[in-house]
Amino acid sequence: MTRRATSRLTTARFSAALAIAAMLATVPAYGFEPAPITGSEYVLDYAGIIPADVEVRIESLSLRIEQSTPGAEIAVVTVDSLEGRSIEEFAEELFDDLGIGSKELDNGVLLLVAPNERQVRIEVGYGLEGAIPDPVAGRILDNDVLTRFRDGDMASGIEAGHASLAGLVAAEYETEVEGATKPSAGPGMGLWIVLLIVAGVIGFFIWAAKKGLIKGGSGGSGGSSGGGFTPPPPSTWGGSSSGSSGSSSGGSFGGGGFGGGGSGGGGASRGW
Amino acid sequence: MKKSTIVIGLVVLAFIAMSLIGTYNRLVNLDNEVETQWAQIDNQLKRRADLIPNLVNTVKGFAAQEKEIMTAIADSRARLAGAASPAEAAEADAELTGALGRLLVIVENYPDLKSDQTFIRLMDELSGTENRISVARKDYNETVRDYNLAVRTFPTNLVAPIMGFEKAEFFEIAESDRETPEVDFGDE
Repeated sequence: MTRRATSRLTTARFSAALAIAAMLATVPAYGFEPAPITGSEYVLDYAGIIPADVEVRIESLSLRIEQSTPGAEIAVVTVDSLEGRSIEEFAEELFDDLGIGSKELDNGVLLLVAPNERQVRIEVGYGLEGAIPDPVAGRILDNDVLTRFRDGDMASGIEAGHASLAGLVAAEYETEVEGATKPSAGPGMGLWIVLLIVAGVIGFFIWAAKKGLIKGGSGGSGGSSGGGFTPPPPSTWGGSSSGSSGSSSGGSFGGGGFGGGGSGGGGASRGW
Repeated sequence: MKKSTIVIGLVVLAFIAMSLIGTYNRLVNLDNEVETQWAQIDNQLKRRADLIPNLVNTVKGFAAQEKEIMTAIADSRARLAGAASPAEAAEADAELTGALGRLLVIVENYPDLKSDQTFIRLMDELSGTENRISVARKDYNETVRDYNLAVRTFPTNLVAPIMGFEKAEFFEIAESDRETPEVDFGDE
């Protein structure tokens, strides 16, 4: 072919390539990164104490959580033996080995149960330490998990604990997920509302008395109304939120498919 | 002097200068890393110290007669707050952990205290900080190891002192000082 013809052919090929590239580039952009359908990695029941139907429910809840949030992952692991280590040490290493939660946000949670050593721990990733502070994790273990464990029902204890954790994670990302236990507002809330109403009523009566609407009592100097209630000082929860993940020495756990998040050691443990 | 000698001399000088700059920057980076890791630990240690007064008050409400353990806890807290070096802080922290362990044993005798929500919350927070410290300790000591190695290897060790870099201290207690908590079961 003449040089002119070849260059036209090359140009044609080049434009074609460009066109194809342009088409590929216009794939619809999602508002979030669609989570890979992992399906089976959230629950690693090495101790074999979770029946299949419960496992399926837990896994679908974890999947819904991961899909409704920026990659938050809640994993449940049961082990036959802690291999002579403390559950804290074991959980921390396991958490980092599995890399629970997204790498960027460290938003993972691990519920670890060691039925033979009768120890259970909730390990919280860096990114969720605000949503699940240590005492809250402890409360979940006390109220949801251990009450059922002591009744002999390990599976429902695990499921209840998992659902509460899911509720807190969902609340953190301001979303609602079916099956997650909504965190209760706490007794404090209701109490303060009642107190405010009472204060309002008292204030009204004092004002009415001053105005002479209610007979009796001096109309002179009215007392101070309401406002003497100081809410309890906000308690600061959680530990530090930054820093590198702990060192991990190759564990023997497979369970791939997690996002690579790390934990700084936050959470709570219980024995029973 | 021959021109080529001068040129060679300058090249050598330039080379030395560049490697010095490189060394300095490397040491600065490592030192910075050490400081960052220490800040993590220090944060948690401060948090521990802050939680103790609350704990003391809560326990007093139920078990005011357990003066010995409360004094031990208060003393370790003071030591922790006054620690001037990582090694001292590690000692004080270990002491505090030991004292808290003894407290847990004592609390078994006071079921009201043991089930008190405030007490449970505080102990959860304290064991949380303990755990975080042990995680941060590993990272910190690893970083210190790297830094100390850099400061001590030849030829860096010739210039490091001049640049102001000294060995960093590990956050750990000497084996001989490890305290074995005495568990006193009282009169039974």
